[in-house]
Amino acid sequence: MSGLTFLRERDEVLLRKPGGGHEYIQSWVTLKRNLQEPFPAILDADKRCNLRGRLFDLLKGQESLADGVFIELESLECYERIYLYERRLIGTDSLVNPVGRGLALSQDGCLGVLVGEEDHLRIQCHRPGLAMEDAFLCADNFDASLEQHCRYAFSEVFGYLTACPSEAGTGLRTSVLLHMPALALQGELPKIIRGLLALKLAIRGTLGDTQGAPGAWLLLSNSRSLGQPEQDYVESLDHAVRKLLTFEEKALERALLEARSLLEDEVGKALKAVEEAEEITSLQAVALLGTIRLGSRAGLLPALDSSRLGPLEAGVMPGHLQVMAGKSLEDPVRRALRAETLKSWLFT
Amino acid sequence: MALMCEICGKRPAELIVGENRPDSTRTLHLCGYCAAGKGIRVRVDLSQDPRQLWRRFLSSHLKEAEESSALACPNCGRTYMNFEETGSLGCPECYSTFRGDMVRILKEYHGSDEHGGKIPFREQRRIAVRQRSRGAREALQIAISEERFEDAARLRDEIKDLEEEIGRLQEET
Repeated sequence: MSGLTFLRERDEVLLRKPGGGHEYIQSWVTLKRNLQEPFPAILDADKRCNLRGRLFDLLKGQESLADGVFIELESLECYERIYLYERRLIGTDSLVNPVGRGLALSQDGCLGVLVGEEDHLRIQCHRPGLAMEDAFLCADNFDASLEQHCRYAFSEVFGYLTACPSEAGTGLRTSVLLHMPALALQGELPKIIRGLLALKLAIRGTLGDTQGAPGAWLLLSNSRSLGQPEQDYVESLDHAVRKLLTFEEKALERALLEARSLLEDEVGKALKAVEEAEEITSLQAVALLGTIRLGSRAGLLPALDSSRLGPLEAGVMPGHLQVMAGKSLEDPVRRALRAETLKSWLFT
Repeated sequence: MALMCEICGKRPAELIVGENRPDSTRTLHLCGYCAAGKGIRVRVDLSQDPRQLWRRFLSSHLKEAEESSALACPNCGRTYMNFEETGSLGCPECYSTFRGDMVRILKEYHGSDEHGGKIPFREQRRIAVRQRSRGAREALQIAISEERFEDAARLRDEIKDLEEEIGRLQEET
């Protein structure tokens, strides 16, 4: 648990105290890098543990991680790994099969390196707000410093060689999480998604593809990574996101003009549902919070301190709830705790 | 003329909704707001995750891959069939082993088969020397065909020096 303590403390600050900010955008950038040896997925557990040891040693020499934490993922409880997965710090392979996989995190939690998952190294930088450029510079600087101490698998033609060829070239994935409730309310999302796909961007909901876009959260990333300079991928996503935000703002203005009572009705229903709920699932919570957040943005909830909303959607996820409770909880207990937590965040 | 919403009559209809009644079913054309008012949410297809896009792309393009189908990587043992199943390669060497199909697949997926981004510091000198060597070889062929033998001799020496430098850089790494 020690590895997660500081992250948990940071969350406590973000989630429980007002002042967490009314952020409804998050940005992050990952760079995949490999050494000139087999990729981790084809290694057995012993070899992967050995690889992790060597990579941790390499990373410990880096100034940005000097006072960071180094977590061997199999040492965590399952719910703690779920928490890291929800924070997008580890992927499904590490969640399900953690042996020989590890996570290095800087003290401020903004820079992380996932070790031994699909690729040897996944350098990742997270930023609140629309800050992909900043996140990219952070990852790129770390990468530049690390490459002085190792030799990456690199080809003059294919660029950085990654386990999945869909990420070859720059090895870059730049992502942004956006809240688009006004466009969703007007039934505009399918049209928007078609447009984004034409720009060669990848789109998903926050809770996996099978569950649509609960709470109207969309996650956008570049789907191509070979052929252009890194900066171009970052800029084209940034450009698309800025346009989308304008559409969303206009959609909200239009909704207030044309359907204010419908908006008020929806927001009122969401608040009432939270107030009366004895149990709430993650999916319901994200959908309800999405509507409440819309109400707050539209100025329909003056009594609700918008800073209380902070990153609540993350806070109601199963891993976060259990880490906050400090123990594993069965599903019905989690649902009840979620309802109770939401009420205390929103109404007290 | 755009069809207007059948409930409010003020906004263009965005959705076609089936409504079940006790004795019949009818089709309604609604705007987004009125649909939301009836509790109807537009289902959005969000199976556009980067990894799913890749798998979908592969499933429609691998059938054409004839060149590598019988190959296995000498470094890690990964076969082309493993790649078809998982969508992932076993080691960096696999890119060379399956090069023929990889060039085609990468070009179709990324719209390019040539890296245009950052080059690791350690590789920059090696790549620059290799590019100079390639350029000198092309110039040598032209010099020979134009019977400029003095230039050809100079270029041959230059190529020799560059090859030695490439060898040295290889050893360093």
